[in-house]
Amino acid sequence: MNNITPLKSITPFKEAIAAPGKIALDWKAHNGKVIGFRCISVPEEIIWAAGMLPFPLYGTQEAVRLADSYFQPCTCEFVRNIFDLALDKKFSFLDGLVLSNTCDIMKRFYDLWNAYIDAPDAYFINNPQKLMQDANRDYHVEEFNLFKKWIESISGASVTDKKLNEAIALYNETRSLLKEIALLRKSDPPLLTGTEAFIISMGATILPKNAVNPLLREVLAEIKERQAPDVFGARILVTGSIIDSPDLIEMIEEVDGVVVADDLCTSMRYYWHQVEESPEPIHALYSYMNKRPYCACMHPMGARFDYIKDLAREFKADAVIQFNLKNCQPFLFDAPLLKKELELMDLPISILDIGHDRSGYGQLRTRIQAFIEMFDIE
Amino acid sequence: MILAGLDVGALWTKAVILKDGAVAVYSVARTGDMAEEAAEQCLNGVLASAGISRSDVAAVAVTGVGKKLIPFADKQVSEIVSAAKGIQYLYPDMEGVIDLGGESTRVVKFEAGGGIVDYAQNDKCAAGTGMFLDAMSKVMGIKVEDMGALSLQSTAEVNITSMCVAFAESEVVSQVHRQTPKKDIVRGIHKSIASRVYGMVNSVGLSEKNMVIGGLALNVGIIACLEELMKIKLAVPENPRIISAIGAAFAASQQGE
Amino acid sequence: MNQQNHDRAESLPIPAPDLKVIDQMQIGFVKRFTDVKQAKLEGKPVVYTTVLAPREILQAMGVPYVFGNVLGAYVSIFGYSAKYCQIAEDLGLSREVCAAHRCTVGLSQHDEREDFFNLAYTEPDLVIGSNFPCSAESKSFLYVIDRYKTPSYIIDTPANTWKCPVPEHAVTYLARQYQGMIRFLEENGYTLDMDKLREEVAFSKRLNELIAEVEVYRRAVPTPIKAYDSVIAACTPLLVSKESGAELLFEKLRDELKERVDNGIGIVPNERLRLLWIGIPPLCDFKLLNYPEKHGAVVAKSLVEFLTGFNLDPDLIDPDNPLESLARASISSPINPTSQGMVDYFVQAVKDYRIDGVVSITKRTCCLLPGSQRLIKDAIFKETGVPSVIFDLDCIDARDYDAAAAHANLDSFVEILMAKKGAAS
Repeated sequence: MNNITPLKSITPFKEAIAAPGKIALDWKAHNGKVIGFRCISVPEEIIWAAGMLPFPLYGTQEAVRLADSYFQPCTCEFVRNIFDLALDKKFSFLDGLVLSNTCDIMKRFYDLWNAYIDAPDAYFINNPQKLMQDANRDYHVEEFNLFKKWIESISGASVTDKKLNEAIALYNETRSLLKEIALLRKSDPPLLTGTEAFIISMGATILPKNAVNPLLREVLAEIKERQAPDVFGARILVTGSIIDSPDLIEMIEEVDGVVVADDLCTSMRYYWHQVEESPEPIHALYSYMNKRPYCACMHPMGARFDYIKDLAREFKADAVIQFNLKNCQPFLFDAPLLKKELELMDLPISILDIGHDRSGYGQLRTRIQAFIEMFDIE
Repeated sequence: MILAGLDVGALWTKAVILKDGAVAVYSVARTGDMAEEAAEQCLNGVLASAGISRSDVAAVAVTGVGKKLIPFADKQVSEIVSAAKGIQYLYPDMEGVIDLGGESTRVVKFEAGGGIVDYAQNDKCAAGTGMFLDAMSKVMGIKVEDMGALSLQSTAEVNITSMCVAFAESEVVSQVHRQTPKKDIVRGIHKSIASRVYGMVNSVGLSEKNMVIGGLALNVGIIACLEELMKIKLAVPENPRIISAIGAAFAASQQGE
Repeated sequence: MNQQNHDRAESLPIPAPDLKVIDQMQIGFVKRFTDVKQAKLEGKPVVYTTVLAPREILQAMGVPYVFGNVLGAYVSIFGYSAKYCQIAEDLGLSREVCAAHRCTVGLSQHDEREDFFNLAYTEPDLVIGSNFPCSAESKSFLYVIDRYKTPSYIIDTPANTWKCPVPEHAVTYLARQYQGMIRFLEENGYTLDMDKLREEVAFSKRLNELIAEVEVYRRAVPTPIKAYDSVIAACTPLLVSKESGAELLFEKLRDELKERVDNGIGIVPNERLRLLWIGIPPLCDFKLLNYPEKHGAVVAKSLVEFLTGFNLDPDLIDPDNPLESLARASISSPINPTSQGMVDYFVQAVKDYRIDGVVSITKRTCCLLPGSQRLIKDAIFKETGVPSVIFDLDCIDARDYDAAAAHANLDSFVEILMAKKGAAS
């Protein structure tokens, strides 16, 4: 990769990723309460409408230490890492924590947080795992209503439909701006690198949305003004288990891949669709969660695969890379079937196992390089 | 009552004679390929040193990974019990033991002079054991017995994040190529081992009244890193390698026939 | 037992049944397999499903069904785990994926099967999958759908974050899932007679009441039933229907146990310790469950009943409200995450079954238990003072099984418990 003028406007996003806690503490000093959450099946707008900051739980790349006394070492490293942080009181600034019905180990995190962390019990949104169907409407809406009540009990403020609609409008703007940036990667070459796009996306999940929207407009303006990066390489779509650091995207791009799109909860899946305007905002949030792209924890699998294929076509991907965190059952199960599906459209996929703590990154880089070298890009 | 205890490890066999409530003699020898032969020789050696014969001994107890290969022993004792009992025999006020073995690590919590309350054991992978240190010493080209002292000279933080030997070796090689000072890399290796042990200590909830035994207890670097994590001063008995053999003999005398 | 029979028993991968009725139960399993084969020959669509799906609905609609989990378990029990896991891995499935489901997937992807599996496995025409109770369960049936290109329906079961009582909106949702399952079966040629469904639900209630009676006898000291026998009993409601005499079998089981308990007969002559086994049973070495008996230690109770949907609360099952009550009972099952239900159940089990020590095994490809083991251990110790040992035991994929380590771990734990008991007396 060469001839890339660094984006100045990316700095706040980088800083957010490097020190998310600082963002939260800053909010607490000036604005109010902070509610931690994991995964993105949690409707952040309800938290925001109560005047509180939704704070996504991310890990660090350190080796797990204390959590192994509670979780067996064969369980997900990401979850063990954030549990380590919790044991180390790194989340002690949270005024509440909400978790949701995704994978087995996240449910265990809920149990162990309540049992061992010196903090108020976490809340659990028992969302359906079978989406794209109307039969889950009443259930899912009720779960959101109960969650809203819990949020109100913490904030002391009522979450009216008006406030909720305002929150939805704000978040929709964030989604729209992020998508506008993402679409700049459709061109050949893309107008920004995958690393830049990932940093902006993940940073945006952390920053308060009223602050992040002007920053995103600055990014758009700067990208349009700067000389297009001279990046050529195999166009890669990345999917997989939670990726909470730009390392892996950087690694691909250091070996002449160009990450043009992704199916990641810390990036494009976070903002690809909009919540519809509605006089019944809880129902609108339900519809959004029911129909937008989702991860391997959810059903139907076919819809997830279709989304990946459509994205690959739209962004003219040459290949797909799926990163599986060790022991991540949902993604490990999906991988061979996804491969079969992509073979039907002649789209090669490399399925790579990763550790959360950067162990084995030397070998991983070699494997990615070997995969990218298969594509003879002039 | 005279008791004999044997600890048959993968690399080393230890034998002790307990007489009048104290350790009379002990011996440490290579296990080699023939565990039964090594144990027999070790036992005969301590009997000779003590000036007694086999018939003077009330019972011969055996522990260690090779215990099932010693048919002439009167009693087999698990490594967990023998580690605990070894410390209880010599230091009756203690409430826990950390056994840092060559191939396995265990942490045992017990009541002072009483029964075992909880324990954790790692015998499935090299993380936290002497094997991890051996592998890294080869990669660094430093004698394993020099690693501990070298780590104490470290002045900068280096993290070896992987618990897996294969990946950790890779990390160490990268650090060496980056010209990171060896003393700092070595300390990172020790921290990695200590943190694995600390996880087990934490899961069992050891009190401050505990001691560290096993071959790796002689490594000052490991002890320093563990002390940093546990935030207490750790004590190591004079001969940490023979404690399990003592414990086997003591346990056998308590259990009776 | 004479020497010849003894040698033969020793050579089998499974222990010989101890109670007379267990042999009859196992024979009943074979009948199930042949019935399904016959139904297929008659042109009835066969359903591939999970043991935790509402079989009352399947029974009421006359649907022939095979349980993926049971077949996968048999793969391991009869010593074919290496073969079928390898088949699954050759498809690209990682070795980190649940071993039990690798066995199941491998079996479904390969047509040359051994005699037993040719009997037990009938190619499905429909798939009913479920996310209950874990991620692996939620995904493995997708391979069967992919292989046979079958129509499918997925039952979405809410996790139990409410303990008891389970809130109405969750019960209603799961009941609607069951209605969806019925519609799916109707679209594929079956019809539901509501009276039959009520009968099947009433029968499930009766079976669970009998099971509760059996459990009372299991709590006796000395324990009257071997661990392996209890596993077979736990599978019986799945594989032996009302028509095939399941009720009578459980009445016989209850009576055989009652006789033993009344006469103070235990499974070992000198029972010294009672263990609770938490974790998947050691399928590739079933005799391991009986191994502690050489020390006079018995596995008095295990987790296996939940894995087969055995121990539902009969008070929650209401034949007049079939779908909702089945939904409520299912969500309330201790195996349904989150962990609190399981924690509460095991704390109570330790008290009820007079347990001296808990063996909590970690299958390293599992996601259901390895995050709960410490929680369960601490809760049991806090409430009862009973210790647990947690150790790795990969006991489904035989390539990963380490019998020596398993024995050593059990020996150590039993040794410690004996010493503790000796000191206390």
